[in-house]
Amino acid sequence: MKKLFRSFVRQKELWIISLIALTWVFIFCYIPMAGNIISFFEYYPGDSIFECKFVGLKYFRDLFALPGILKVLRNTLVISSLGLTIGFVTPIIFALLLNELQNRFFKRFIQTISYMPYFVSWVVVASIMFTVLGTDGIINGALTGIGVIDKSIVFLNEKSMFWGILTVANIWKGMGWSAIIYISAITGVDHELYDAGSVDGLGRFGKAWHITLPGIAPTVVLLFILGIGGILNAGFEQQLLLGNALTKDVYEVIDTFVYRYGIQLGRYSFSTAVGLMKSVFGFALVILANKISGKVADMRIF
Amino acid sequence: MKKRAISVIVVLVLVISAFSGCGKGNNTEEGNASTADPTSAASTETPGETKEANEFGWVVPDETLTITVYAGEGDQEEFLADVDGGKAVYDKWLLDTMNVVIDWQLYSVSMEEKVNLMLASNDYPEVVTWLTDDLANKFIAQGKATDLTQLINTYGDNITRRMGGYLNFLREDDGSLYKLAQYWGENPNVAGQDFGARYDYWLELGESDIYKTPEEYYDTMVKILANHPTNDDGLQTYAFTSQDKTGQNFLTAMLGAYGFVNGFKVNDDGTFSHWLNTEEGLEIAKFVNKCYRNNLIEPDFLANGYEEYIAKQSSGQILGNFATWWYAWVSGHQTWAVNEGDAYNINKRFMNVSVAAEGVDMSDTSLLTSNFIGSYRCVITDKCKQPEAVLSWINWENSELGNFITGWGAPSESNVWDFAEDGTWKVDDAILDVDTKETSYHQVKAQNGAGIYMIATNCNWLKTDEYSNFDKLDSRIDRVSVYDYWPVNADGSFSNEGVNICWGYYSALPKDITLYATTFNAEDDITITKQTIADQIESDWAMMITASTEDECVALFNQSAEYCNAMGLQDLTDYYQQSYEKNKAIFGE
Repeated sequence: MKKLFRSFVRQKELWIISLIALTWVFIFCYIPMAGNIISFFEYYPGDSIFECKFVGLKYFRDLFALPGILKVLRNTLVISSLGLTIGFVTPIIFALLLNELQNRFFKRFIQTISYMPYFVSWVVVASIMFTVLGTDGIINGALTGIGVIDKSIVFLNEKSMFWGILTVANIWKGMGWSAIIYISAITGVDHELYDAGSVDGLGRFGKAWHITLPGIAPTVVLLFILGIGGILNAGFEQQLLLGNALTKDVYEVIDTFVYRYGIQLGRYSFSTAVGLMKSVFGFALVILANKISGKVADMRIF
Repeated sequence: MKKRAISVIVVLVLVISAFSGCGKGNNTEEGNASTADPTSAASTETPGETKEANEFGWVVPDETLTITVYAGEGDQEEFLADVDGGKAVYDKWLLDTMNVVIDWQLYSVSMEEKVNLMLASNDYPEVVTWLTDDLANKFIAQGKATDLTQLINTYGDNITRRMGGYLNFLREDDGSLYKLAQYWGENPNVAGQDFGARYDYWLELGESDIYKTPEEYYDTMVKILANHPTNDDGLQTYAFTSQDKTGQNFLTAMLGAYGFVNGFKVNDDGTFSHWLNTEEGLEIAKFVNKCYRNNLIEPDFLANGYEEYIAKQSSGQILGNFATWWYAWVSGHQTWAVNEGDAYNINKRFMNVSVAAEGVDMSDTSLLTSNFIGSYRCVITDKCKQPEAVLSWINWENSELGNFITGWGAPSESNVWDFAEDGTWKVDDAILDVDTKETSYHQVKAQNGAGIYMIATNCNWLKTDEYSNFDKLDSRIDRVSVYDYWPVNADGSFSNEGVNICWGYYSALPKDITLYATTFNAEDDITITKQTIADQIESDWAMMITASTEDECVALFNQSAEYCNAMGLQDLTDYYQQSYEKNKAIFGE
């Protein structure tokens, strides 16, 4: 304790600078956590928690008793995994490619263009997808034009294509934005290493592989571990907007499920229970991934 | 030591913050108001027996009556900005003539969220309206709604008279009354679920009679599509599409043609059967599937929202309207008349058509339904200092004249109506032209603040019947409600030729489905059953109607019925039936 106090005194300027942010985090991130208590009670807004009936783990059990929950878990894990693999690697590759561009103006232009979709709402993205993938859309027009198909395909009605379409849409929307942090990490790599690499006969691919990638590896690991923590957050708006009654079997994820069976039905305790379960599970995964990363790659975030 | 200190801090934070917002608040005093005794209201200025009512039927209080009302989701800034100037006009009239001020509050968050926050913080106004039953019940369950059981007898004569036995549906099991209906009454619309078609294209077919069954409708649309395979942009045309990503509009319309209510068939012995457990249900699925397989339904129908639906109908790509009537109204002549100006041909429009399934009489269909008590409620909360006066105001809103003023604004030369010399309610001649309705009626009404404060009033068809007397209303208009009207000739026909075309083939009569109204409590198992079955049917229906063969459609139908029955469909059916029986007993049938 004394050690902690001494450390605080020694670094008091830093603590004072951080005070507002820490207060904000405490008020808005920590205090609301106490609200998780309602997941163990049959709570109605306006009632005192003392008057609410204690139901233990009922709402956690309720989730797993709902028909179709296994499909929902499968969809959540598959969509998240696609994001954590293809969706995670794409911005890294994009950042590496962007780093290879010599013309600064062109490089900045491409970078700006690439993160613009991030600011486009999912409603607009869905509308674009409908236009592109509709029976009168560009894709069907091109495929029928070159004779690959003779009848238009209703892409968004096809279960087998939904995960792919969703992943592509997620990548298109988020790739440029996610690449910013890697581009920033790349600029931090010591340029002398590249000079040394040139002397050793490394080409552009060799430098990217042997210098740039190892240089940004801590950032990659950090983001990957944090990404694993969000594995049960597979999206929400995009599923509701791009999905339809025919693709529900493959688009329904935990968040859309809870929206319907919790929020829309006014079952706040149930919604809170699911949120708590997701957080606990995500936290456990972060700990686990961190440990594995520490043992295997000797890199950990805490 | 370090661990212990951190543990203590974490525990303290959790405990303190858990209980900090959980108190009931200091509402003991206000709570007394929830059981207000109407006879002990001497301290409040109650419009009472000793004073005469003014020309509008309202006993003007000596002290200004101010009512604070939370009215759901909306843009408060825009409301207060009063762009049309109508709020200022109506506020002035209310204050000068009635000595009443209404403090109307809107919030740009969902009403459910806001009400829950209000309840949790014990901070809500005197009146809350536009509530769902579920939300109103929260106020009642927590003792935050005023008991109106006695008050309604003393101050609510218009409400009780005009609602008749329907008021009993709002009562609790013990007969007490805590909530009022908002936007209630008989549906004034001419059309409901529609089997519509382009009128000009139908005329081209030269058929002497209009189609009367779904099968005849199908045949007609096939012929129309054959004559018009593409629209002006060269895109392939279709007969129908959807707007809800599920294709439920086809199901709803077809169930209406078979006379089902809420998805249930009422059997001869009075029992209910869910459509999935009926022969008719299978026929419906097969019919819609046939439409899909034969390219009458647009392949992208599951991707459309409302905007796309309207755009595709307007562009001439969708030539029928297998859905609710007004989609075709908005996308059809209302758009074309504006866009085409003088070149517009009156026959270029959608006609709304009612059809009855084979073997079903038109009078037994449920294409046009009316739920008298509506879906919205109003409570006078325990914060209200003068519940008697507030209820008196709501009662005035429900007098014939109060009803009309609330919906159409105060009478004046600058409004769409005024008192005639003989005391009748004469509408402005300009509103008799339907084609200029948007400017001559809706716009002028908005400039007079019409309809901005409806606390617990109705959207009833304003006509003289056993409950109401609207003899003073201008006879040149009919189907009048707080939001609309239609000009008519002396013989009762619509005076606008286009309107007669649109509705000339709609013969289904309104079916009162109030007795079928069923409510669900969030935490009840049956609510979850209802939701899971609804979700299952939503997917299954889409698969059935898009099946590539009829056999596949039938197999999917049977599979869905089997699965939903296993999920508790019979329990759900029983629940609806018990609710119906209970409603019948309440209504005294």
